[in-house]
Amino acid sequence: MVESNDSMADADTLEGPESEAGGGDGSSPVDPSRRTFMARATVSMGGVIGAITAVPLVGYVFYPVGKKLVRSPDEPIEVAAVHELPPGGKPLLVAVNADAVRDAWSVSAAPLGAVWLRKLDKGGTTEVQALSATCPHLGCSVGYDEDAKEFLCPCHKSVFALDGEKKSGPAKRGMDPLTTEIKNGRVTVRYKKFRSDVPDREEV
Amino acid sequence: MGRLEQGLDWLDDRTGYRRVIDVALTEPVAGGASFAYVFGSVLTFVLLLQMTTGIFLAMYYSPSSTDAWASVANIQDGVTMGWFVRGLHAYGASAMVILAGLHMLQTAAYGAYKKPREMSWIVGVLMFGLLMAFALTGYLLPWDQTGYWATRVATGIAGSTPVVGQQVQQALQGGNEYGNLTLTRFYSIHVFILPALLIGLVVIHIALFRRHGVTPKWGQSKQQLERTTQPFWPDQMFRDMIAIAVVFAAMVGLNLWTHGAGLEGPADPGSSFDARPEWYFRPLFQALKYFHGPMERVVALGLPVVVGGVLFALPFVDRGDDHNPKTRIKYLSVLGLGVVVAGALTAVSFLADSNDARYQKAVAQAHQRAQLARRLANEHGVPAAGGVAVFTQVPHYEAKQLFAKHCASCHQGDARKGPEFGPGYNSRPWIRAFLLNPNGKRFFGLSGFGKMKPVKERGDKLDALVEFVYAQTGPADVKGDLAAAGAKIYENKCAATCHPAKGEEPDGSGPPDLYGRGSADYLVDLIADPGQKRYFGKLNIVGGDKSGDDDDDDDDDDDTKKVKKKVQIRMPRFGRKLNDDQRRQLAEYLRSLRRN
Repeated sequence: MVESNDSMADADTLEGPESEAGGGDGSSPVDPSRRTFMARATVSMGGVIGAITAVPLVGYVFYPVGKKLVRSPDEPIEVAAVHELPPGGKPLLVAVNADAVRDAWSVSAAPLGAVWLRKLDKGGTTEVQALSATCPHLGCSVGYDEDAKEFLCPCHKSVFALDGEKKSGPAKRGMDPLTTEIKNGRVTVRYKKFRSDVPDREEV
Repeated sequence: MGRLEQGLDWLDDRTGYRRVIDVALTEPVAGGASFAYVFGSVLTFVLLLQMTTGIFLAMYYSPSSTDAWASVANIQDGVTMGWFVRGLHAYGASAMVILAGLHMLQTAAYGAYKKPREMSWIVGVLMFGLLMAFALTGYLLPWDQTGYWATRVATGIAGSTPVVGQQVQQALQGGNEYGNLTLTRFYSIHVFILPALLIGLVVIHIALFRRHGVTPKWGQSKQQLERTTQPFWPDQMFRDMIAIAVVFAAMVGLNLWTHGAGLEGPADPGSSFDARPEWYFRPLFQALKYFHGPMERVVALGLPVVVGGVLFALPFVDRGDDHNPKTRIKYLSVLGLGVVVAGALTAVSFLADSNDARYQKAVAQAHQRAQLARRLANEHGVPAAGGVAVFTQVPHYEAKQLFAKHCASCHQGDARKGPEFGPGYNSRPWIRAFLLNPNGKRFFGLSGFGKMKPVKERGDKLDALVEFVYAQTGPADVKGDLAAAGAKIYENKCAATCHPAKGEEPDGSGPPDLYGRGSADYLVDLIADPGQKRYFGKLNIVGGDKSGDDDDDDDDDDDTKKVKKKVQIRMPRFGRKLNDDQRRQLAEYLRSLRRN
């Protein structure tokens, strides 16, 4: 195959179009330097037109890079009532629903994610611990293993203690804690997302 | 041999690309290169530009009735250079139509559709039809007012087809009404089906052109043509590129000058909008104005068929070897007449619009609304309900709608019956003016409520009283001492004679409790039933203020029984018509007027 291709190319003895333009096909004789000028001018004009089109398109395509196009107000969000949380520090998974999530052009109420809540009694006062249910490894949804009393990510088997501390598995850090507050018997969470698969927490 | 050449040699060895380029470029142009032949290349260029910009527009576009307008507004006002890309696409569409028209005229003038090139012409006419379909489907995609209403007319025309009209219309718009399916349908037609068809026809068109070559200017002998033949590259391509550059510069210039294509407000089926089609449909749009009744649909459906039929027939009627336009004048004059009539209709249509003051006003209003919609969409986003829901992002939008519907007839305008509510309501100057002239037309003069004696206090005492009343509305900037002084005056003068004193149970005789007046809770409750004892009591019943100072509860009940049939109240109770939320919105809106 390769050989036959070679022979074809040889047989045609291809030359640049310019060299052919002056001579054969009964073309009228034109000063070759004029043809060179026309060829160069044509290519230059094409280049300028291409650039004028391409440069804005680059900006256009990379518009979303580094922008927070999906965002919600940075306010604590009410997720549950304290009395709904099971006693004895047993975790409960709740959804975090924001009133107004801006997603590029639209704005609507939408869930941001889920958190594991635990009611803890610390010297008589009630505190609520919130851990993001997003696995710090690769972003799967972390579940709870009732029997072992530990958090377990079903995707890659990262295991976390009840306080979120990493026990085993590929995750590079423990589960991400979120700030909570109790107001009038209601639990609010300040929801955040962190970069996955890095040892330190970087907010995204 | 340089590295680059070595690399290219390798590539050519494996692919044979040089031969492809060579074949593509070494087309002999009989009779020499000419600016008369540039239109095909320019059209190809603009087509490529349309595909490029179109593909990139699809990157940010969402074809659904809730998202389409919002996503286009985002392209226009949010995305970097989005307005530029969309503008190029819109002006490119116009350029395609103009260039295709010129291309056809040049072809006709040179007799290039004659034997053996009939099929090139027919494919060309088909492509022109596709261009129109592109324009029509693309115009709807932003789902803005013009696109929405103008396209409704187009599908309405299709729906007037005899016998199968309903089916045709429903197939086009995807069901009984405009909605999500209309957009997904138009989108798929515009970005998949039509481009596939057009590319297919372009390939055929160019292949046919390569088969038959260019049609040179008439009246040249074979020897003459051969002697003057030049290669496509670079002689003709150079001229093509100059034309491409001119067209591109015009498009970019226009795009920069107008800052992209226009975008009207979101499609609002509940509005009345005086829509116009894109300029290239104006001849048909204007022609339809001269026909009514059954003739209207005959023309609307028939005219495109007639135009298409004439174009298709041309190469088969204008036969023979003679390419000289002078001897073919009767055929060319048909085309010329068509162009002149279309141009005249377009001119008449635009002139009529520019002389129509009412239309101009409507355009200006629509434009203002569009600006507002786009500003709100950019700043706050468009709510999930989509489109016109963007206006709910205006502060107190709901309340203003409610006010216009339920309150404005009595509280605004010359025919009003109650106090005027407008900017400045319950501000300090408003309260001062009220206290000095409570029975003025601006206040209770038109209401028929009993007359309140104007306040006699002046100077510091008046200031204090104003501050006291102002403080009741719950603003943040109350001067505490002054308000306290005002409270004393109120308790001594007003509460002693008419209004209930602090903590006193109002008896319902009329003059309202001023404590908390203008606060949100007060307004919410008052709007529900202004006849409550705390508010206007008997004053709200027509003739109620004359029944004297009847304190006895039993008598009160008797009274109500007696007048039950013909009891006429002044300000209606809105407790049933407006729920608590709605009244609260109204209250917040009224309170917001203070600042204006």
